Amino acid sequence: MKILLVDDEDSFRESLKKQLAIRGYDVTAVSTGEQALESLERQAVDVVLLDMRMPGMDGVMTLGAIKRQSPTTEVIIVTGHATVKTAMDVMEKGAFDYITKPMRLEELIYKIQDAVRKKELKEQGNNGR
Amino acid sequence: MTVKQQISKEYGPGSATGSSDSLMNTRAYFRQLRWRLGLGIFLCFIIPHAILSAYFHFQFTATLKTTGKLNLEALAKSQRNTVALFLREREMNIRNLVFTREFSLDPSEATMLFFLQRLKQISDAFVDVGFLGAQGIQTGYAGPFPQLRGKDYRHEAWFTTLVEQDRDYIITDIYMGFRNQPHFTIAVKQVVTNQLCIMRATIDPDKFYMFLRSISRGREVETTLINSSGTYQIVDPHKGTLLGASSFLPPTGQESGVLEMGSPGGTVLTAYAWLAETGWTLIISQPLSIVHAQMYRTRTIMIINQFIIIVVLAMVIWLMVSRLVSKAREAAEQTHMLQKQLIHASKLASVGELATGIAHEINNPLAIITSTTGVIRDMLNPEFHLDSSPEDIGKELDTIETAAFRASGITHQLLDFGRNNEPRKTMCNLNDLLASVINGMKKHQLNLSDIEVITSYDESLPATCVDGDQITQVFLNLINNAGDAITGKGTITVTTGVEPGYVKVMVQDTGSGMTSDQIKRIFDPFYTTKEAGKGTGLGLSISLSIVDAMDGSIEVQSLPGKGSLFTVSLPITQCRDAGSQEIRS
Repeated sequence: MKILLVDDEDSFRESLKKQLAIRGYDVTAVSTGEQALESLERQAVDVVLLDMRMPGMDGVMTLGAIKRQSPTTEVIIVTGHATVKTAMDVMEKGAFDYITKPMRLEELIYKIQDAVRKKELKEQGNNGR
Repeated sequence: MTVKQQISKEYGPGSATGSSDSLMNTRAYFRQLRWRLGLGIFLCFIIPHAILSAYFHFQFTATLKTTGKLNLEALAKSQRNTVALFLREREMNIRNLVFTREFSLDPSEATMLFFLQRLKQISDAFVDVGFLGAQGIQTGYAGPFPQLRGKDYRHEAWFTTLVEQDRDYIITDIYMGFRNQPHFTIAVKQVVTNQLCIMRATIDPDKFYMFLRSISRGREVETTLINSSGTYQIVDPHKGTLLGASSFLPPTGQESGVLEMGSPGGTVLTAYAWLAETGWTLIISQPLSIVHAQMYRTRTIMIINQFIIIVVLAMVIWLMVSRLVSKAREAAEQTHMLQKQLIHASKLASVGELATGIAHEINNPLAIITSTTGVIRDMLNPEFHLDSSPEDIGKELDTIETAAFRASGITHQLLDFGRNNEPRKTMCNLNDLLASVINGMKKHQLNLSDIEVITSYDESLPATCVDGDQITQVFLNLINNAGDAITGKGTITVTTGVEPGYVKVMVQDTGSGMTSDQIKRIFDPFYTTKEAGKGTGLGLSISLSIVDAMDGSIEVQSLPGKGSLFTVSLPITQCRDAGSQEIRS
């Protein structure tokens, strides 16, 4: 299962990558929205974990670009602070779900699995048609 | 493009003092406006009014003065005519005696008494009556001076004049005569049965004076009769004595006239009229103040009226202007209130932003802590068969520690930001503060980098009343920001200078600069252009609130790619004492 982790916090990115990798996920970690798009061009992933506040392209902008580039890729927003409004915003723009920092790893994995399941269902639907 | 942004104290945090100041200014402005407007309108009304009033007053005074003179002259003429008539009547009374039944060329004492009674019935001014033959011997007499009977008047001036002149009567000037008392004589000559005879009577000057008094009108009018040589014929006993010399002899050229004369009691208006009959002049005089009394009274009434009009006008203008200005002031104050509410609302909004920022900034390091904790737990989990050497765990713990300190750093700064303590102000020289800040930084942050710090201090910089610790923090923030903006080699230039009423500190860097959008947001709390973990976005917010509280300002100029210039202006003030209060110099 391929995951793209986008976050400008180096320590967080590294530790989360380690934890997910050890649980069998194939994690690519980048620090900006631009890098995320480049990475997606090279290699498609199942789920993108996307930070909201980043220098340059922020989470919302990156989300839009990802959804345009590969609509089937599911995006989970990882944010330091979420209001109902930002949650509604990102869901409307096509995010699968969102999770606030700091979070329990189990919860994150649960959401990743949900997202993957949804992606698979979507792909099956597309193939079956 | 150079973007210049003035952060005015109106819109920064801690603007409460600033806005109440400007409310006072608004009130002062409207107070001043009310005075100016009121005075302006008042003068617009009053100046033409005053000019017209002055003109009419002048005209009125001139006319009344002329009228006063003419009136007095007319009075003099009318009295003169009355006197002339009186004398003619007395002359006729005497003449008529000759034509009575009782008249004879040798009148008896009883006849003379009868004549006297008859005269006295007509006028009590008569003193006595006498009858003289052609030789000038007074053969008949009745009156209070019986010794005059038989007196020889041959050599008396009036007698010789009467006998010689064509006119058949004479009215003498006042004289003493045989009786040695002042009196007038009126004598009439008649030819009866070819014999010249003279009937004479004398007039009592006191009675004559009483008569004159009775015909004179007006207050403090003084009537005098003088003969052509200036001798008093009739005079107020208070003013002169009979037969005394008058100080004033009117010009003989005119039948009547009027003139103003100075006297110890003030200016006196004097009118005169000549009597053709006797060659006397009737002089009446009245103090100018009495002549003009009516005029002065009218003038006083006019002045009082004017004053009342002006006061009423002023009150009406004042009320109207006050109403207008207070309406305008209310409107302005309402605008001001709205502005204040807007500022308050924007402050509330920035509190919201602050909360979002806090959550974000604290949750990020917390996320690092939890995820790194998770990593350590994984390392210690035998299931995963991971390398769990103390060095590796130590590295992860370092990460946790760093993240924890980052979070605590934010709360500390936040406390600084939220702190609303009264600053402890002392007289500080900004040059010294800057020097210590730069020295401190050179030892630490700037030591290892390729950044050169150039300082240019204005040695004449006056000391000013500031909280040294707070302003040091501002400089620290600005120089830190300048250092952070520079990647690799660069220069920070710190300059101080004086402007009227202000000291200025300029921090210029050759760093990355900012776009106008960035400049608009740099004073927002938690806004930062620095990479994650390096800046909290609170430095400039805090700096602005500090400078704001000192009634100063921070101005930003920046050019992307070229660098930024931050200018801090602080008012030059004197600390009132060692405490916290300060006064503007």
